[in-house]
Amino acid sequence: MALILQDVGYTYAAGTALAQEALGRVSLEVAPGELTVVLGPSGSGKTTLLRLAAGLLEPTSGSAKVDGQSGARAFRGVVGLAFQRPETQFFDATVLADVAFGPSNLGLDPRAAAAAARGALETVGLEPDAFGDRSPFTLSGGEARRAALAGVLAMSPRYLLLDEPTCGLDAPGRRAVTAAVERARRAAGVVVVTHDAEEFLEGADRVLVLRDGRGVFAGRVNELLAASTRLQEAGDWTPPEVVRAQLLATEAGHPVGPSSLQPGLAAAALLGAPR
Amino acid sequence: MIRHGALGQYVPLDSPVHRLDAAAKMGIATAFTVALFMAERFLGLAVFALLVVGAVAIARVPARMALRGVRTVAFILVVTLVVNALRWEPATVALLRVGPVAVDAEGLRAGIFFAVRIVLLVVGTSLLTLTTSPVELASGIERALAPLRLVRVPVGDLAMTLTIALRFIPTTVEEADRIVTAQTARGARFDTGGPVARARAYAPVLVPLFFNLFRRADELATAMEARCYRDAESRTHLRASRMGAADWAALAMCATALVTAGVLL
Amino acid sequence: MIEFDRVGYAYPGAEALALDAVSLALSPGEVLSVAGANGSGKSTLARLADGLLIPMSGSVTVDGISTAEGARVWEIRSRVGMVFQDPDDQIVGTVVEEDVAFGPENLGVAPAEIRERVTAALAAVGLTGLERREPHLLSEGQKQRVAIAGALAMRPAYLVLDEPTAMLDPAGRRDVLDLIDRLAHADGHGVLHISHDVAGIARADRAVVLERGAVIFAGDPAALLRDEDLLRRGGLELSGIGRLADALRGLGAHVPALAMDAESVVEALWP
Repeated sequence: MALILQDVGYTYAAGTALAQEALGRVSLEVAPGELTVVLGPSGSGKTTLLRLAAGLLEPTSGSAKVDGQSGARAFRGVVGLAFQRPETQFFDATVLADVAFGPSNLGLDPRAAAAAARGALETVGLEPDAFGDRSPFTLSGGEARRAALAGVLAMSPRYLLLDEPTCGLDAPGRRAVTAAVERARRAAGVVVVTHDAEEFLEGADRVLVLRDGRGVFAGRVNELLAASTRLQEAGDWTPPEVVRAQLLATEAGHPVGPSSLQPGLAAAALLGAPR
Repeated sequence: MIRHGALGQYVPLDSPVHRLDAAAKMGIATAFTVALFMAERFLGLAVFALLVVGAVAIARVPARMALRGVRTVAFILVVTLVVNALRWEPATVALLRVGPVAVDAEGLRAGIFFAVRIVLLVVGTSLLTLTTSPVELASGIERALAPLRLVRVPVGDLAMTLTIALRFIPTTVEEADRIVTAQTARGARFDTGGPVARARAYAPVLVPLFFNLFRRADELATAMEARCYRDAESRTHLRASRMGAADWAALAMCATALVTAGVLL
Repeated sequence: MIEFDRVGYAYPGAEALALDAVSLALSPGEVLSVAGANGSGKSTLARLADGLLIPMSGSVTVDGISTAEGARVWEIRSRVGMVFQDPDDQIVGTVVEEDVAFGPENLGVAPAEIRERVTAALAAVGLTGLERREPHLLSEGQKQRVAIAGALAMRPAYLVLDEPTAMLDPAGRRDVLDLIDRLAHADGHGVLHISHDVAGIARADRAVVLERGAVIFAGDPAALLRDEDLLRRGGLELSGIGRLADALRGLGAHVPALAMDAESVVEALWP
């Protein structure tokens, strides 16, 4: 049971004079309970990859299968997708009604949909009794973001795709969202697209690094860290500053050993490095 | 993805038509419209068709883009044909008869005439927006409406409104597309049910779209005030277009030619 | 100088004060960083600085002119350039150069001079060559720089930037922070930079923290970055490199509080 994209490629307006290749050959995999992080700058094809993973687009090459099945109908309700700044898509009068939109569309009756909505609100840390009756348009930045995520979680997707979930939020907002993602991960396979590696990298099972529509790295986090010098030199990826500090130290003649994302461990390693 | 030429929008090329002043082009477009409606014979339409083809060629606009507007009015064309060509229990001889409904030769001829005229109108006038950038267009409209200032019409503000509307068309279309995709990802269906159900299905798209538009309008107004926008009539312009000798000449020649053709044909 | 003298403000219909007796000053040539959690009054502060809002108590003066002086508010607005968080909420032009020209056009500047100002502003933000580009074809970072260019074209003495890096990726954020540095320290503008990005605070000359409308800290960014309690109250969080520097200090190493990039940290450990 997994969401698997195998060597997928996508070209917008394929076959016409205005064809534009957004993705070359990229592979992505995630199983329930796992977290896959997709890194890369703007324009690297991340958004296109998410749409393919959600079944909203058919790959022009390669295959996209969820639990062994392909085709839009297989993805509906099984794969949940939250776009960037999902709070701009609120439309209903109350938070509860907006969050219940997804489950209603999947065929749940009003009581079941409301229950699913309440559950989702709890997962994201928004107390249903306190927030349920409020208008979604009155929520603050972090609250709105979480309410919008709840709208996707309410459909109980087995796979959850998140596009820049912490973008634009302040520190408390970011913490609340990462906590919600952790909770969601217990039941679902989560793919997070982010240009802020630090936020999600530590807890990730797999990492995919994109550049100009191509996967330049796919593997485990420790493998990514081991490959960071090579990736940086090739201009494919810039590691977080914590990692860069350790790489620079090694380059300057103070070998630190394998890089760590954790500041505490990195500090000890840096100070223990032979001169 | 919004590309050049979509929705009859500006295609930045260099051609004699592009270089003509916006106000001159607007005048020619008006003369074209008037003349087109004066024509009474198919020969007239043929001449105008030739003129339009010639203008599109001179403007170097790809034919496909010039014809895009026709697709939008396809429905109107069909209605025009049907309304003119079909008769209910006619007394006169009909070409084709299916029960009480008949296709009448005269009516069909008239329907085709009107439909062709609509096509020519759409293609001819879309040449205006295809060869004139939004800024030039707004400037042209502002100058054309300038006399209305005498009767206290806020011409400068209207021109600004038009420019902002044009600036936000691609952004708003992208946003609508994003919202549709997001709601689809939440299981919304826009292609099932009868007309009423389908219309209601768009509420989750229209509400956020309009909410965001109003919110944006508010923020934009604040940003404009922060940049000292107040009395639109006393603003200067980065690119001050004006009608030159060539523009007046082109306008005069084209207008005369068109109207003459309209009267004669 | 932009001076806030015990400024108080409440939005119509609101119970609580958005700003409570706030005093601060911004001089040309310096970067003043203003931080605070959502709802702390940062955006209100920005709008008061430009005369978009008038204080209920206290006063805001720009080079001696009070923002409450209705007749002279346009003078103030041409001295204080504002850039908001979302560039799509500010760009009105159909192409880049038309938007950058918007401000000078409103001021009735002659066309030849408008052209000069547009060229200079685009050069200052590094977007020369994109004059005829349509806004929706630009990246978020480029759009934000167009908005900054639009403010610069008014030739303001001061710039108020309200969370300019919130929507940007790391590369875009670095570009904007570098630009802010140049605008203040090389070009002499006074910059009020509202942000919850600690990298921006580390590069500022002075920092102010707001909590529920009141100033709880005003002074040296280094002092702020060393104070866990202030950081938390200001809705701020050290990034990974900041926490690395902190951990190093905890283990006895001498790493300056303002070291927010790999080079500075390594430099401090092995000078």
